[in-house]
Amino acid sequence: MRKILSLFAVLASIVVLAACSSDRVLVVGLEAAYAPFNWSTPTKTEFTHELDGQPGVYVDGFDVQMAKEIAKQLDRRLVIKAIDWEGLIPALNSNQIDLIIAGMSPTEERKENVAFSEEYYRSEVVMVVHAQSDYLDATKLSDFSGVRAVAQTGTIYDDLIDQIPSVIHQESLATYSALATAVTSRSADVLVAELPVAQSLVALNNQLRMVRLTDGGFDTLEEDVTVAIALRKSDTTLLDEVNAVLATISIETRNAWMASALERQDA
Amino acid sequence: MILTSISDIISKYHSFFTRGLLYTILLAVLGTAGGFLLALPFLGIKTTKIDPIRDSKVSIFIKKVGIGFTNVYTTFFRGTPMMVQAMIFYYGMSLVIHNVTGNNYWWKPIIAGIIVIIINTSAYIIEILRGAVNAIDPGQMEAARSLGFSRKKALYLIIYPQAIKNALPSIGNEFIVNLKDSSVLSVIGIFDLFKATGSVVSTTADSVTPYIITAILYLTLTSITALLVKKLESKRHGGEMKNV
Amino acid sequence: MSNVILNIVNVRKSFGDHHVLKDINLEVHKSEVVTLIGSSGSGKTTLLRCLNLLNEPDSGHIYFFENDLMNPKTDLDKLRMSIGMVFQNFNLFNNKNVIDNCTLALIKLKGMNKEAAEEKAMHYLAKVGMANFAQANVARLSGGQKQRVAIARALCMEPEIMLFDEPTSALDPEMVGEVLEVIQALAKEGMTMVIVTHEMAFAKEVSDKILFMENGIILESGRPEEIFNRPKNERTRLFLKRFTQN
Repeated sequence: MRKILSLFAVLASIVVLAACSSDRVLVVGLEAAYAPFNWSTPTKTEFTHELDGQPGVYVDGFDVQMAKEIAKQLDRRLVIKAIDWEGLIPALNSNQIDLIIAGMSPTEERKENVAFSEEYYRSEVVMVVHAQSDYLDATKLSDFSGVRAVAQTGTIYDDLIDQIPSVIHQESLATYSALATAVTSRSADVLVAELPVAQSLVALNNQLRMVRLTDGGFDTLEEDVTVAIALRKSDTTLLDEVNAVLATISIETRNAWMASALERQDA
Repeated sequence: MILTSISDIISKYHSFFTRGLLYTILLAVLGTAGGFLLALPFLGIKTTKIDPIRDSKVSIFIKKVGIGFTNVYTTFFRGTPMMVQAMIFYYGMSLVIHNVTGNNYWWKPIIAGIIVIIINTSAYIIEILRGAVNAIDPGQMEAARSLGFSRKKALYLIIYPQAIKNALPSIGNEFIVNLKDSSVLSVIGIFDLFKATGSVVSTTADSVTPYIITAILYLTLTSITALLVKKLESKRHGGEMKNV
Repeated sequence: MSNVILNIVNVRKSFGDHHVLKDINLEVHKSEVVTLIGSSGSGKTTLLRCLNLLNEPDSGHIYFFENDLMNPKTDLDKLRMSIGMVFQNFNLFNNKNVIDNCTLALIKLKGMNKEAAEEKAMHYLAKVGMANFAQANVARLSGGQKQRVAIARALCMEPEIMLFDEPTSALDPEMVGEVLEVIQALAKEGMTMVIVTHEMAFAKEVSDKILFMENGIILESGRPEEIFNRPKNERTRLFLKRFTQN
């Protein structure tokens, strides 16, 4: 009798384990400080997801919607971790996370260390200036000759700064809050960033204005104006799966998600 | 594997590390030397004696204000993180200078950083020197006063020189602290060793090896200083007490 | 009287609740050597330190010539240049060598130039037998040597009166003699002095007047022969008995 019971117990646990393993986890890393792509909030809504290891803190944003859709289609349990911008690729390569969905551009440099999916959003490089600055009506790069320009550490925007004629290229800063302070305190004249992020900064701070370079902007590569999802080079299966999901999300959907994220972030 | 990356990274990015190292050393040297000089007048104020019989009412009032101000100064600058002081000062002054003069282009992070580290260090050195002055045998002051030296002359000729000499090892330690703490000034955009390392990390996507190199660099700097401080101490005291 | 150098009138001093001096009156005349004796706590050291206002009395007057040291308007620093003091623990300046200890006040307070100051310093160092140690580091001196330098330092200011606060109490027995000799020589030359000491034989030998203090008052005062041989007060006798016991 005892032998039959223990055999039954073993079989049952095997079945349970098999069932559990189909409940696979997908760990996504993002900065949680890059609105409207990703930001943190204390309020739980249908758009948010809880932040791993931080009870009471949720993340929202375009990247979060993307992460949720991918996890849903791949039938995996979504876990989102907040990691500093510079720590994202190291975290990916040391297997702490499986995907980076953080408004990251697929540059040649980064491709040396990670693999990228197809683009999941296409953007534009713009300038953020002080509401009382002389640059509100500027339309081209040469209008910004001689400015003090700044961007986030380790981003393509920091590299683009040198295209501004006679620019004073200030040391990069680590976070967008620091960058916004640099402009509002008039210690920098221009912050170079991408459109949705600029829109979100301007919406939150009435001392800032966005300027689009309609008449002659930065010389950029494709990779500079798109964002893609980063994966470990060895994860070829996952790469195919992610690209398959992205193919199902139309440009209209993407733009709608971004607009909706901008709106929510304004609240 | 780690060793090849270390030499690899050093050969490719040595200019980053060198630049960062220079800024770190600059901040520590100016901060400690400037902090010491700035501390001296405050020390003079803090060691003032109020003579209720002989001082005039005006003079007593001025002395009390001076002592009060010095206490607020040391409490504030020792009681708040240097990072916070740097942010308030750099960004705050940036706005003020722009609004008042219209041109704040000359107001660079390194200027604000040097000022902040000098003021911050001075607050600590004031307390170090005050302790050193109090530790001087009261007999020194009594002998000086009985010869006819005023309290002020006695302090400057006899007490302060001895106190400063006694405080040198502690001030050397402040320098070591500054070598490391200068890294918080990177938050306002100063290219110190810590920020330099960050740049190497973002360029190489290797977040461990550059920091190992930096740790070795900081350790080298602090060890050299610690050795010099030790030499200074033994020169004055002639050896440790452990042999007694 | 024109030869009264120090006139102490109704001086009282308390430290908190403790009345250390309870109404002291005393005159010190030119070339007089006055010695204060008594057990610890009698107030003798406090009284001595009041004479140059190192301790500040609560009430009373301390006249140095015609100047009342208790008057807030008096320039104390200036007057102290004429009152020399020698401490039990020597109090030589640790950041100066022997000769600089002596010349510092001459140069900074009396405005002498270095050569003149050093000449004077060497004169007084020779007088106390420390001329060979002029360049020495004070830390290397023995107690007796330090005290002799301290005496020379005070003498350099050529004061009108010298105060000695237990000058040999901190010395090893073999060094007491060399210091007492110096003080005795000064007395012979006519220096006005007030001394606090436990060296009874010395007190008897050098003093013109001895004051016995107890509990903050001067119990008895008189010439050495009177005090030592024919004390009037019982307590004086009891105190002295301890010293003649050996």
